[in-house]
Amino acid sequence: MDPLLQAILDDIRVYVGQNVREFADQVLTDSKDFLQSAKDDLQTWTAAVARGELDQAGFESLLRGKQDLLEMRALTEAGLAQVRVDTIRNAIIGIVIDRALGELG
Amino acid sequence: MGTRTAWRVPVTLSVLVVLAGCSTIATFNQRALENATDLKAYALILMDHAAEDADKYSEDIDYLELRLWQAYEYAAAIPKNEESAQQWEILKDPERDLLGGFLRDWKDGPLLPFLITEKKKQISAAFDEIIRLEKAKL
Repeated sequence: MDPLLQAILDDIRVYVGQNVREFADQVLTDSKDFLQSAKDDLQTWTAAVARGELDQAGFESLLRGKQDLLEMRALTEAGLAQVRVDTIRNAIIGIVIDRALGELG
Repeated sequence: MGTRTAWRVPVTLSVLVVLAGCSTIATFNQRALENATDLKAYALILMDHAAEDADKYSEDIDYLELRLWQAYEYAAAIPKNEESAQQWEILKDPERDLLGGFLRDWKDGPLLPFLITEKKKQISAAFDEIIRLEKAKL
């Protein structure tokens, strides 16, 4: 793992150990997933801060925006799962109609 | 139709009625899709000016905020459309850090070009999520 991400994860592990021990596994798994998805962005933004092109408030806003975007992506996935359920349901309706009308005919 | 199979007709109709009444998500909505595509274009062009004073664009910002509210309310009024409505809510919320948060920060002062570029990527991707979900309902 990237040294920066590893250092962040170590800090999170310490925080979790001290504050939210009962949810430790879930928080660490979520944190790893988030850091992995934000890996490239984190490197780009950190370099921009070092160059003076981005301030700390902007960095924080980008990080929180990334989290918001992941939440929107999760909502899309939830919606797509529902669309698949409806597709299957409609296919079943079609099968029922074909079979029922076939028997009547 | 023989008596052996006659009972199956009402049973079949009942099954169809139950199944048809149980769709889990709203069907495709053209206006909802257009809300997303129109506002995506408008927002991204307006964001290009965020290195300048927001006062110069206050009418455009107010208009965008109004349209975001309208798009959210429209999505929220559609039955079984919770996921799409929540997406609009996240996108427009000034307490979060997508479009609503960007406009909040801009009003506080001009933004750095690097931040504008990166925020445009995030907000473009956020609109794409709304568009992807709506198109999947087709």
